[in-house]
Amino acid sequence: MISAIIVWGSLLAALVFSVAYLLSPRLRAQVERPKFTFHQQVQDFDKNAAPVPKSKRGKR
Amino acid sequence: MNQVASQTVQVEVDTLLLRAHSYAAFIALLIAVTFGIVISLQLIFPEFSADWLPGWGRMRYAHTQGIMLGWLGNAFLAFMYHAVPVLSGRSVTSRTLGLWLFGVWNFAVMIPGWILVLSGISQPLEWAEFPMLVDAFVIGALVLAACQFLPPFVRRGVTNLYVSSWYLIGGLVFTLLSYPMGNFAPEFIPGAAGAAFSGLWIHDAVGLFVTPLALAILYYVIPASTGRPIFSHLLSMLGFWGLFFLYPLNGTHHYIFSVIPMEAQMTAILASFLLGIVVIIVVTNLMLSQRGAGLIPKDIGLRFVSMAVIFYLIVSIQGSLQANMSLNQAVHFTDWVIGHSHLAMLGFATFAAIGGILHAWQRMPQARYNAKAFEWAYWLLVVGISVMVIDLTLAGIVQGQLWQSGAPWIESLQASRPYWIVRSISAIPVAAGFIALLVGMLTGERGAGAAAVAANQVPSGTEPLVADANNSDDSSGLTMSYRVACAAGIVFFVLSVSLLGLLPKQVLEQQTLAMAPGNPLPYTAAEARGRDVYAREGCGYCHSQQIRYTAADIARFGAPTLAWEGRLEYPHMLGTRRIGPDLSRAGGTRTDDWHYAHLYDPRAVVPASIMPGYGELFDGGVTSPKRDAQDLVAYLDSLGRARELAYPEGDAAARAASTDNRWAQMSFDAPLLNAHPARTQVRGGAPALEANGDTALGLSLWQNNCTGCHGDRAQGDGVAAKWLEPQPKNLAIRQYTRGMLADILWNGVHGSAMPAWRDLSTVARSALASTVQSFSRLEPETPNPILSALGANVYAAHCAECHGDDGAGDGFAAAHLPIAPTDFRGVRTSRAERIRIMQNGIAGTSMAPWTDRLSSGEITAVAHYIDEFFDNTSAGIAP
Repeated sequence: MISAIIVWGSLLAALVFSVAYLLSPRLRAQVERPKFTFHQQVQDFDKNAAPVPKSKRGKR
Repeated sequence: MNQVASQTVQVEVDTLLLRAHSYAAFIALLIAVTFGIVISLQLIFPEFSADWLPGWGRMRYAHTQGIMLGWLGNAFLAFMYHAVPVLSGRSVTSRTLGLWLFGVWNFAVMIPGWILVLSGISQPLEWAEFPMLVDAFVIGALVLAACQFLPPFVRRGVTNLYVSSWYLIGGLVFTLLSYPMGNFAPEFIPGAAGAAFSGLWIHDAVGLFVTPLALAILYYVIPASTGRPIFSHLLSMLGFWGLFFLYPLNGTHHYIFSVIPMEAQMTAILASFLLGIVVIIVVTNLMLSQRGAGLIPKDIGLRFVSMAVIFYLIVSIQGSLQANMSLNQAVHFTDWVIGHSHLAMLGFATFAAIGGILHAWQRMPQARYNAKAFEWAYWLLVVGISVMVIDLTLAGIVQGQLWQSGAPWIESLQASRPYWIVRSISAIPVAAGFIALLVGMLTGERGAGAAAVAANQVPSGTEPLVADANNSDDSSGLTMSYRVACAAGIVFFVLSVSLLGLLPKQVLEQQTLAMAPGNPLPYTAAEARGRDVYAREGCGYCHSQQIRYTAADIARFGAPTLAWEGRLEYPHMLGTRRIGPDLSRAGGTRTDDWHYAHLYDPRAVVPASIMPGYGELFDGGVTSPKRDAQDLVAYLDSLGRARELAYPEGDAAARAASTDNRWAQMSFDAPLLNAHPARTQVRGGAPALEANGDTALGLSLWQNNCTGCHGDRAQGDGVAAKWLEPQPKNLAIRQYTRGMLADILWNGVHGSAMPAWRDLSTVARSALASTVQSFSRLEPETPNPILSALGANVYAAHCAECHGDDGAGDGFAAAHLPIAPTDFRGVRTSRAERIRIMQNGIAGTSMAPWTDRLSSGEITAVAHYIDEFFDNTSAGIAP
């Protein structure tokens, strides 16, 4: 009984969160922002971290 | 140090520690895989061994812990040295701490752990095989890892935290919480209650350690390699919370149909089903995030990760299906589960770990990089692991079908052999793939990885869903919801431990109190020592000690295991795999001399056995067992004893105490209460055999089951014959009635090494009986009425008290003898053999030499008289 409440309760919470996400553009932006932040961080890292060896530079 | 300015914060990737953990990971992987290959070969070639080689079970311990902690643990730590600074924008805590972590993980956990389990100091628990002393260091290392990798996230805060960060944090925190539960709790909580905690850890090891850290890699590498953000951060977070809420609730699905309360089992089954749905969401998101990268991406890190996603989908759906009771009933304990765990650890997690390491490796300017070797590694591993998993899954289906059908156990081993051969062959590309990876990291041009990154960059695709990443809307509400979810995650973990661990423990303790007979016998000192031998040799990997509440288990092994039967089991020995039969009720099914012969040379008594021999338990031969062997046999003889002795009073009380528990009632309705169904019985009750059995089938059965003792030519001179008392019969000088053979094959010869063969079908027993009859070379012998008359008098005076007046073996003393006297109506020996027996007696039985009481003439007379009892037309069996 308790486990059913937990399982279905968590599903309900996920559903509520998803509906809020769909209805609120602001929430949507907030929820999705980390992927863009991360994307930027990775690109910055890749640009600066690894210099291409001399023998391969012409191919880039 | 690899220093890079990311946004406004200086990012430092500690490449020294990254390299160190990467190399340690691959070395551990090769060692663990070597153990795996050796034990897989020993299933095909059981004699493949050497004095210096540790036992099968010990290497199995080293294999699993090597893969989980040595390989994956190091690989994840290596990846974290690359990912955490990028994800958090901050460096990890310190190099000194990192060196300590590396040292503890490898020199206080892995190396001592391996040495200890190979030396016989271990813990007989799946995925928790290292002994508790090493477990303490694992926990210490996990604390160090938390101190090394969590502070950067704490300093950064949870606002706008990317999903990989959540997985890394979750993985570190929840592993630290769950590790003690699976590694310590079963040592202090006995039997099935301890198994409930084991089940939680078995699943949490995968669900809260391996999966989160592997998913962190997938969510990191895919966007980093494709050059664009993941498809949906919402779906990724739903997946994250779904996994952390549901995974801990799955644990008990490893013990479906066990004595663990059905409520806990049903919770685990439901959670397993829902977890499958969550995984589909996660995988959909990950696949959509790879759009444009192609089915086989050019970037090698992404390629491994992409395959990991596919493996993750398959293994998760497989896991959800396995929890289904119908499927579980058939495939649990089979190679299906071994295939599932290889797909999880060598497929999904290993591909993710390789993808993560290669992704980081490419970005280390000073690292060597051999693209060709990595390319080879990928294809070798894809082919090898796919073949291995498909093969083991098919093997599991075949084994499950045979077990359900009630076929003799040995048939499942014979049917498995082709699959085990394929599995071992599939290990060749797998091992070659891992070697190629290491070659790729040690050869090639330094810094060539960066060129590969540049060459394989996927062009940016469509516009992102939310264009402005720097939109600085107030996200405090979302941050708060994440904090609430964090707290909820911890609460869920506590709930899972309560619902699937503590609550079952309480219920099982109540059941034990209500159902256990008064003063059940504890283990003797020898039995307790024997249990330690059983544990250290990993016997539990092949022999379960839980009779499940299923018809197939009850028919084959007897009444299902009740909670109180495990009250002395610290830790439990329930097991998760059956290569050999369940041993819950092994006591009394075999004689001690059979056990010694079987331990020393298993194929001597069971020609088709694949059990490894344990010659190290003997001083040069079967007749010189060391104390360990004696203790182990004492332990095996004790299995099921308490339950057997509980009958009938104890069982009646237990039945009355469990009227509202329909599962427990099943345990009392089993056809053969409290003893192994294949146990030898004195006499009677055997179904009649068909007149003419299939001789080809009979000969095959004979070769598989009988030659070890009776010999190829049935002359009682098999390899094991010299170790057994009484010695196996020479069937060439005997003639059996059909009825007598029916009785012997059904009941065995109680008190001797001759087991009952009730697990063979009537057709099979008929065939075997025909084969046995065909071995007889006994010619009719001329009767001598005068000698017979004299013999009758001698017989009545000296033999009838055991063998009965009419030779039926039912004299008044017969019931008190450990081995029933021969029933002369059903078996005839040559006259010479009869004389020899009366002169020498039969060692190991109550038949003594008669030369001190009977003259030579009297012995000859009795030998003539006994001939008259034989009646080939009658059943020849005492009722």
